[in-house]
Amino acid sequence: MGRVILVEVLDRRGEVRERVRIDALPFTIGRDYHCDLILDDPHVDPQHLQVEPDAGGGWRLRDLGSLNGVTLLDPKRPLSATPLRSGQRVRIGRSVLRFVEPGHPVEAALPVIDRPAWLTWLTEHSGAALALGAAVVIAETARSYRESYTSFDDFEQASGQVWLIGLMLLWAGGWALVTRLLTHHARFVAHWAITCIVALALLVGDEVLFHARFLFAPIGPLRAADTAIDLVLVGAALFFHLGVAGVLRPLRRLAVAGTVALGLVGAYALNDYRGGDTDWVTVLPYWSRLKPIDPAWLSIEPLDDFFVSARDLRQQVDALAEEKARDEVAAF
Amino acid sequence: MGFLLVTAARRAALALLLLWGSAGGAGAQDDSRALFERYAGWVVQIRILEAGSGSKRGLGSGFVSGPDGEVVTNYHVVSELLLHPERYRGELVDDAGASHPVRVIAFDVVNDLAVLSSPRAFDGHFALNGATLHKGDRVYSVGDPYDLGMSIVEGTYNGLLEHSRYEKIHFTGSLNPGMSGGPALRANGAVVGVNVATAGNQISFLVPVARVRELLAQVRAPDFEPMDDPTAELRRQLLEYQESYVADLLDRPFGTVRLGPYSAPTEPAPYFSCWGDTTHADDDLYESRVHECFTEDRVFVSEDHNFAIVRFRHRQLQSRGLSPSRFYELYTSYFEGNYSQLVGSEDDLTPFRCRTRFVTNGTLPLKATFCVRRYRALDGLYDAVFKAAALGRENAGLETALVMASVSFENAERLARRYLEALQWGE
Repeated sequence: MGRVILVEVLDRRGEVRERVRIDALPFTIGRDYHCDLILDDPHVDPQHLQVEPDAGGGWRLRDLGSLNGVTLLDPKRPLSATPLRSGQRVRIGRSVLRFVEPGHPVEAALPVIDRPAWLTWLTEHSGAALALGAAVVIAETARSYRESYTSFDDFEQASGQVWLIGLMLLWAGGWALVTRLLTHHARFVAHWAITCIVALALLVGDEVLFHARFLFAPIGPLRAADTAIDLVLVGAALFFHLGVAGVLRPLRRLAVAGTVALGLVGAYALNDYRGGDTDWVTVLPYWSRLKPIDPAWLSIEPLDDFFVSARDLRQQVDALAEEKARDEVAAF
Repeated sequence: MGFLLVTAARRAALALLLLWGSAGGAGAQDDSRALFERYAGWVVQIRILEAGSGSKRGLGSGFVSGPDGEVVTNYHVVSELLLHPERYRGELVDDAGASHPVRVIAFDVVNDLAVLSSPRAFDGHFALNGATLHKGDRVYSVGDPYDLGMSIVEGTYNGLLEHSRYEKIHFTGSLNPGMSGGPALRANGAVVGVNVATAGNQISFLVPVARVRELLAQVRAPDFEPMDDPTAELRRQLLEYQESYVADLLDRPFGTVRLGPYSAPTEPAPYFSCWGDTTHADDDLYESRVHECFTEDRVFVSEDHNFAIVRFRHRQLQSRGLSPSRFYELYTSYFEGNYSQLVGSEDDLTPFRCRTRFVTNGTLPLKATFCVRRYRALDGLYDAVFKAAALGRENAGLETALVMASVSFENAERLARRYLEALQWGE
């Protein structure tokens, strides 16, 4: 028998838990101590499945009359006996087995640190990481200066920046601690660089939305854009932090980062929506932002058009009033 | 201006007042005593009771004003009874302390009057043909302040309010909650007005007796039928009121006031009172100039809803050291402020809906927003707020708000348009 086949026991995630070379036929699999591969699975028969030569000189799998049977996977179908091919997966009881030839491809090695080239570059140039921190401070200072209309108070500004930097240090430090526990390296600089880049992106995103609010972007899409920006940035931050911590394969990392970001941003947006979109009768829901832009750049309409377009407000509030009137006999 | 209805909260507040005590008011004049002795029997206390428990919900006063025992009081004393008949019932308490059920047969919401009927027969009634008054004439007001017992207050007639389209008498005397709806008399017992509101410190207001005569004339007309749907009647009166009010405003040219580089509407009618002031920021980075116009024409509709029909305010901002983008932050913070002061509850009103656009009135580019909400049960009546901010200058701005309460949609649009047309460059 010149052929070499290995049987692998897979865990729930598809990772190999145990690997045995099939040295001689027949090769029996079951819970029994006589078996060539012993599975401690209570749903597996003492003698469950056998690999044996078939009439044509090849190998085949045969169910030894088990209680729960044998299921071939990819695609799923029950089996009594089938020729064996490399890569074949079968389920017996609650265990999944895979039969592979030595030529079967294996996945590439998982890097100890998984990070893109730019992040590696930043990690190797700590001056650049420092500069990123400075950029966040400058951007934040510019924003708070622009949004203020009182004399510039150095102390107040400085204390605000200290808070921001402190918060970012805490965040990057937390990730560094997790990384240290998992890999024996803290990789603080990489976490710090990710933190700075996400903070900068958030500031830029706010700036874009700030301009949009001056124009009349409809409330719904603008709010959705706000949420989408947060979602992407939080997701990206988690993805890269996890990568630096070197714990998960990229696809799984994407799934984890996406799910956590969706949970966080979703909860936040939901809360914002509940609190923000109030039906309180004294609130005027309108875009109040003003900007020093030359009116020549704006699309300005004559009074007549404005008042004509405002007439559908009447239908809107009439509809709201009727809606309520149907619900109850209004007393007022 | 506070209306003179006693509610639990106000009654509790009196305790504080009493702690301070008062040594004044000694030596009642013989006039007052004679008046009180002669007429107290024709003044009654009006009680609004919670239907289930019979607890007092509100108290006011009233007076007998016709041969059939018609009792006149303020609309605001009985408004809850009219708007929520399922929750409240009303009664009058006579000078002997006996109570009798009452029913509202007519009201005038604009002048804050109501006529009640009751099974109680009286031995006479007040004369409503009050003679001409002159400033300084002595007037006696009767009512039951804070449920303390029927009282008489001596004061002075000081003419009619100037900043009100609807006549109100300025009475210099202490009216207190609970006296609402009580009569104000001359020494000969002739009624000159009805207690209605106070602004504190002896400044009080009366509804002229002529308005009472008009309402009673309606009640006595041969074709009069007691109203059966107060909400429909309220709607009719408010629609009629706003129609004539706005028509009068639109008939006149608005005055203009110069505010920095802008000119803006002011004093749309003589009964408007306009005020202004200039303030400098502490660090002198900008200057803010405010100009505001309003009237004393407040209409009481319900306890959480009384309003002046038209009110507006301009704020002109001038930068003295702010960069354009910082100046516009300041400008935005003022433009987003809610000047409307329009309160109300969700049971009575819809939320606001707004339309915001960049517009021009031919000369001035503006960011303008028009917001409306509707009275749920009063079809055709809206509260509207029109706001605008002038654009195009890096170091100057004018933001303005026009508030119109309880008007038709067409009138809100007409007034806002007229208002917008009056905003111009000052040069």
